[in-house]
Amino acid sequence: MEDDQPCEEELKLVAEIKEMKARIRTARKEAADADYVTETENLPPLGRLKFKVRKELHGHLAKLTDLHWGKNSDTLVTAGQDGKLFVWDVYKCMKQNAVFLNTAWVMAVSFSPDNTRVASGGLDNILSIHNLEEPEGGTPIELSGHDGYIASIRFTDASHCVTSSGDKSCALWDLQAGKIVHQFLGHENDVNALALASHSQHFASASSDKTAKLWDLREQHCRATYWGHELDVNGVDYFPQCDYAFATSSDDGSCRMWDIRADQMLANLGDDFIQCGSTCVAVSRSGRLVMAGYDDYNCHVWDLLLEERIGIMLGHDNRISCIGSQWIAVATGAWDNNSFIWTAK
Amino acid sequence: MSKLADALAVQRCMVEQLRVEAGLNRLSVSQTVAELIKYCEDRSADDMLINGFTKQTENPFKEKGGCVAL
Repeated sequence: MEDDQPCEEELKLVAEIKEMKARIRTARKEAADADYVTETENLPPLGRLKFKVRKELHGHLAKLTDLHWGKNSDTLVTAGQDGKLFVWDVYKCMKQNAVFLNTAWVMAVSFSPDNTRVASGGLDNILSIHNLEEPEGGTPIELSGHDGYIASIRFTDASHCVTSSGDKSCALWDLQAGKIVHQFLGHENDVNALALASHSQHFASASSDKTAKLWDLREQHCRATYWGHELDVNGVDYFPQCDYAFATSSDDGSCRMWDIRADQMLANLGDDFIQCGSTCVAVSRSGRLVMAGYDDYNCHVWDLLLEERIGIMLGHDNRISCIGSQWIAVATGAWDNNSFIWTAK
Repeated sequence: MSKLADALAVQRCMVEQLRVEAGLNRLSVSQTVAELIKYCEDRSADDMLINGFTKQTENPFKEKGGCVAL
């Protein structure tokens, strides 16, 4: 017979959890000796920005689910639910390489640091590594370990990857050993996205448990949990080239910026004009701009410091699923089967 | 009983994790925002998504060529 009454220890632990969270909230409030809006309000506004589609990458026959810029920003890899990865020369607008996957349900793709390989994963729960120096990616190395779908992948170095999964965990893989060497546990629901800090010493994750978490790769533990989003968090991107902050996107329609060193949310990018969820987010080279994709087929451009919506990227015919920013351009992918490259006008 | 033991183990982990997170060294928002603003300002001249290109010939994504003879 099951005992539904919580036991004494459980009650004690529940109370301790509540007390610890209150302690964190207090500590964050104590660090908030200034108000973000007041500190930034005198900055000169950027004015309205116009972005134009410069390249249209047609080729996928189904929804795009992920993309990743190459190291020199002249190539892009896209993943579509036609079961294909395409590596594009973005200037010539041509496919350099095509990989035909063993599964159509790919959700994540990433270049290796030297761009000779791409990793993919999806509903098959398998991390696949493809060699771009062989025709059509060669025979993939297929690594099992996750108990749920793979939502996001990034290489931390030539022989290690971090993944996020529908099994609620993130994992650090040793690709030479062919297995997971550390599991990052703590999220209470699917982990939809991850972003790596530029020095690869920590990474941030976005989850359907409505939180983002910061993970230390060297010490292999969770450093912080960020509460605030009201629905699933599904996109994350770091402030460029430093570890000051990262941005998230959420089904609640907002994007938020989280300050790592003050350990709290600073910017909340949302307004009444946007009546749908945000699906993906990217931060520009200076950190000033946040580009986010939404369910209503648009991307919006935000001034992160003034928390103002200052541009709209119109062009896709369906939900934006992925976005990536580099020095001079933004790449978007959508459920209209296309990827576009945008620059400022 | 093991279901209860599992649930308790998870909650004990949560308490330990929250203890670690509560003990973080936090910088003040005034300091971090000032540094964020400086960071953005120092790099804004190089951010082509803000400034665009001085000349479109510098834009490697710009369509080449001018008129097409019909």
